[in-house]
Formats: sequence, structure tokens, C-alpha cells
Amino acid sequence: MTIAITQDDIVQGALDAASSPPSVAPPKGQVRKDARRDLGPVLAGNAALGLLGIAFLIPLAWIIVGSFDAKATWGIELPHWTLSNFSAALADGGLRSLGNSLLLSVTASLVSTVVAVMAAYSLVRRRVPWKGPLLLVVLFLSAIPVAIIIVPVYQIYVSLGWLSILPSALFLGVTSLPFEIWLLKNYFELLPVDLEEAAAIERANTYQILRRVVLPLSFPGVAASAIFGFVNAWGSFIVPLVLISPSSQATGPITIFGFMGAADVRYGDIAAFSLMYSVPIFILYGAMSRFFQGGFVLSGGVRG
Amino acid sequence: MASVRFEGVWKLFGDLPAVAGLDLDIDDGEFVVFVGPSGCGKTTSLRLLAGLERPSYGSIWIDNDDVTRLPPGKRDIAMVFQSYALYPNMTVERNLAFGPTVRREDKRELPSRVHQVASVLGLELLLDRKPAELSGGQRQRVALGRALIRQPRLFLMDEPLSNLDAALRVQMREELVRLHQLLSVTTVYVTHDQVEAMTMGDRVAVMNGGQLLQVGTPDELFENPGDLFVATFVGTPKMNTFSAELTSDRDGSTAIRSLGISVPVTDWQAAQLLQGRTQTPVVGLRPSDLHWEAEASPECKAHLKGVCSMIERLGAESFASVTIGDVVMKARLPRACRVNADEPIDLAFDPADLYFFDPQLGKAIVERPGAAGQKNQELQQNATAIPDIAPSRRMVNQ
Repeated sequence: MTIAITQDDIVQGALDAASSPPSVAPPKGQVRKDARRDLGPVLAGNAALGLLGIAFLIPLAWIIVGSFDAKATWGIELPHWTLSNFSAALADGGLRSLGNSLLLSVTASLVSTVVAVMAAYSLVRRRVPWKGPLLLVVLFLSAIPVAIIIVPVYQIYVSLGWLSILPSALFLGVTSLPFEIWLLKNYFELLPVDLEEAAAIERANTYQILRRVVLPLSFPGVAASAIFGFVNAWGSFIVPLVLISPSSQATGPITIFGFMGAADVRYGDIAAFSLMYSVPIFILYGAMSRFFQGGFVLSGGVRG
Repeated sequence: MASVRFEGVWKLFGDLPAVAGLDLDIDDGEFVVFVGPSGCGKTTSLRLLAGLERPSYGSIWIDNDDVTRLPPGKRDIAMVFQSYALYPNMTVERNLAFGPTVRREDKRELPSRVHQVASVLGLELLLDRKPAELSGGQRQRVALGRALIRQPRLFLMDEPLSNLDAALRVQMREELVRLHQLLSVTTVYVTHDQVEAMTMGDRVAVMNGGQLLQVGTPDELFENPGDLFVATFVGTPKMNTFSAELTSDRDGSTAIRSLGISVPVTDWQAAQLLQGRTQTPVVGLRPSDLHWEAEASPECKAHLKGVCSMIERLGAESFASVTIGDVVMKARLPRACRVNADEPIDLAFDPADLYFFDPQLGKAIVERPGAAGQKNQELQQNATAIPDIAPSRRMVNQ
């Protein structure tokens, strides 16, 4: 067998040789200087931040210590180790109130996120008359404290016979809407409109564009919005207190409130229940940080 | 496959006409290029045709259907975006299959269609990758593939090559032309690059300030530019322009005086120049028509002496900036001419290669023989007539 070398091979070989990268290494042994200058301000800054951090950590430390302390008080002491605070906190409807909180928060989050996605998308991509003023109104709404409107809402709910958990979830969902609309609006505005136009040319309808293009690309934003809705309902005290009438539908914060009697305060139960009540929030924030580490998923889709 | 007709199409953004009175017919199977500087209305025209914008006035027809109010999805078109607009969350395969899927087309045929398109574009090995893992050229192919899989009656391309490097751009240019010859689907292509326009288009539509200035084959535009803008926009390096004075000798022969010399013009030039109103036309001369005297043909009866102020050597040829009096002219010089900067150089040109324009209106005043000029003149008049419905003429008149 003979190996025929064609003109092309020769030309290609020469091309390859000409275009191979040069073998030059950067100079070695250069050390970064200036690294130890201006130590004073850095130390002062870190000390201030450390003090602030400790101030935030004290209540958390109390919760952890108190929940394991058989003789818990309002102070932080070396605990008399026990797990009975946990069982005591979950007895007498405590466990059920956790379930109620979950139902309330998931429903509220679902309601607010679905509505906020549609509202934000319309505000970003559609021609909405008075769009600017409308968005400002939404922004102001997010600043109104729930306590101001809770009394009229209570009156409305009484007349409708709605003093129970699901209507309360609806109201809580509405209270987180303004913030979620703004959050999602800012997210959707970052999406290149080309992608949606390309889909529209392919005869995709608005629902298909939302489901196949917009939502997958803005997943971190939608997740953040849903988590905000969940946490907003999960931590709400006054709304379930006023709007939920049956004691069997009481949520977590109401249960904690119940641990504070007129005669004595069950500090150990409060700490144990608070610790358990914080677990879902820790999990959600952990999950959220993973979404955000994934970064913006737009790379490679569009240029320019 | 389809023909396209723009009928008096205007698009106003506020008071600004982005497209001003566009009238254009595109034949079935034609490759038409919209070209012009940025902000000239070429992309807006394309988006109007795609249905991504609604015209303020006028109507757009595809075949015999008035599509002016039809949403983009119902026009049976495919568009390649400048940004490629690939879905970053989907693999190449799903990007290609996106259109047929949302249109609920036959699922059984889909894999074979995807593979067919992928093989035409050389994407078979990339089907499982996401856009972020592709090079610019590969992304461009995926965007093209997404258009091909639709088998539309119209292809729209919005500066599809502008994000590629120079070598790849030339390669993709050839590939696009080859694809068009293969499929002969009517294609409307937008670019700001006149080389791209001239090499790819069956016909080229030159736009500026929202107006269609001229439409014609690349040869027509080069040979008979309708006005000074088209003349200087088409061809690289751009055409030299200078003012001149028309003179008539006692023996009846006509000449122009400029650049310190008097150049007798040809009979057909003289006939048209004398009909015109102006005595001081703007004269154009392409760098490729301005020759080094040592190698000039016998027809080059006009001789110029100048000083080379700058020279760009490209290997096969050089481009020199030559100062003649107070005018700087570009000239294309052969390799054999070894002139350096600040050295004198003798140049020559054939008076028949001159272009003449009205100094006030910028319109061409001499029709050059050879190209199909008549059609141009008509289009010229249509394109520049501004209808009374114009709410604002500020932009148009600039």
C-alpha cells in the first residue's frame, strides 16, 4: 500500500505549521506587592461588621440554647439538656399548626406567583395604557402595612363568611403581589425580546411563549418570587390571627403566641417551636442560593 | 415561495418616520438586499414585513394576500435574527424542533426533518449541545436551520453575518447564496455592509433616512447610481467627488474644468449635461477608474499630477490618497507602482468613466450607457415623491 500525499495535504501541513501557537511562557517569579498596605481601615471595618453580626446572632443563639434547656428563661444560659421542649411544643395542635402554615404559605405563594408572572409579563411586553403611573401605584401598594387594611378586610371576610385558612391565603398572596410584580418585571425586562419575537414568528401563542421561552429563562426570578410569597405568608402573624376563626386552623405563629400565657411564658416551648418553624426557611434559602449560583442562563442565546 | 409588495408603507416612531413611503415589488424567488447606514429604516422595513411592527400607513402584500394586519405567526415566514435568538435553555435539536412543536406538526416526521436540516448545515454532531457550547458560526447555522426547517414561503434575514469574524463571514456569505440557489425561496436580507449587499443580492435596495433611494441589480447601482448617496455608498473605496465647471469651446465641444485641468467630455455626456440646469456639476470618479499613468489605457485622455499623501498596500494592489490641488482623491494602483508617501505621482482617467450629479439635489444628471438605466430613473422618481399624508417632513428632507 502506498500513501499518496496530495497537493492539498502539503498545503494543509504548511498551514497547520504556520498557525501553531508560539511557545512563549509569561515571566515567572513576579510577586504581588502592595498587598499589606492600609491595614487599619480594613480592621476597623471588619470589627464593625463583626459586632453587627454578633447582635444578629444573639437571638438565634437563644433559640438554639433555649430549645434544649429544661429550665429555659429569657436569658442565654448553659442548658439543662432535654428534648422534651420539642415534644411539648408539638403537642396540643402544635404539629397541626405546622401543617396549617404549610397549606397557607403554599397556597399564598401559588396565588401570588401565578398572578405576578402574568401581570409582570403583560406590563413588560404589552402596550398597557398609563403603564408608568400604574407601576408606581403598585410600588406604593407594596409599602402599605397590612395592619392598616386588616380591619376593613376583616369586615369584608365576616360578611362573606370567609374567616378560614384558604381565603386568608388568598389575602396573604395579594399582599405579596406588588413586590413580586416588581421583582418579576425587572427580571423579564432583562430577557432579550428577540427570543419571544422568534417564537411569535414560529406561530407560538402567548401561553406557549411564556411556558417554553420566558419561564425557563427567568426561572431564578420566578423561584425567588415564589419563595418571597411563601416566606411572607409563613411568617405572618396578624393576618392569620385576625382572619382565621377556627382554632383547628391556627398557624405556627399563633401557636407560639399561645405559649405565652398570662401567668407564665413557656420559654423552652417557644424556642423549640421557633427552631422547627425556621427549618423550612433555611431549606428554601439554601435552595434559592443554588439557583442563583447557576447564574443567568442566557449565555449563548443571543449576542450583541 | 412568494412575491412581496410594499405599497406606500410608512412607519412613524412618534414624529420620526423610520420608513417613509416605501414602494417596492419583490419577485418570487428573488434575493433582495436592503442596505444602508444605521438608522436608515432597513431593519424596520424587514420587521414590518415580518409583522413584528405595524405600518403607520400603507399596506404590505405577500403573494396576493394583504398581510398588513396579520400577526407574524400567520405570515408563513422564517426569520434569522442578528442576535440569532437561539433558546439558550434548549439543545440544538430542540431549538430546531421548536417551530414544528409549537405548531403541532406531525411528530413522527420531526426527527427526520431535524436530521435532514442538520445534515444540510453540518450540525449533526452538535445536536445535543446547548447554544452556549457553540461557536459563533455554529450558532449562526442553528439560527439558519431553524428557518430552514419551516420551509417558509419567505426568508427574512436581519444582518445575520454581522457577529461573525471576517473570514467566517465570507464563507457564510457563499453558503447563504448556495442555499438560496438550492431552495430558491424569496429572501429579504438586511445588511449595512455594501460588499455583502453587492455580492449576495439579485437586487439591492439602498435606503437612507427612511427612504428607498434606489433599487436595482448590483451592476445597475454601480454603473448608474441614481444619486450621490448611492454613488458614494456603493463600491469600496468610496467614489471620489469634486466640483467642476461646465465649459463650451468655440468649436462646440464641451469640457469640464476641475482639478486644474480641462477635460473634454464624450458626446453622450455633453448632450445630457447641456440639457441639465446646472453649470457646476458635482463630478464622481471611482478609485478603480483613476489609473497610474504608466499603465493607463489609451482612452485615459485626462492626466493629473498629484502628491501621494498616504498609501495602503494590500499586496495585490494598493490604495493611495493623492492630493491634487485642494482635493484628496483615492486611486487604486497596481502592484508595480512603488510610489511612497509624499512623492509625486501621475494619474490618468477616461472621461467616459466620470459620473455627474446635480450640486443641489444630488441626483445623477448623466445616464451612463450599458446598464438598464431607464428602470432606475422611474423608481427613483417614485421613491422620492413624498405623499401629502406625511405628518412630519423633518427627517425625510434631511
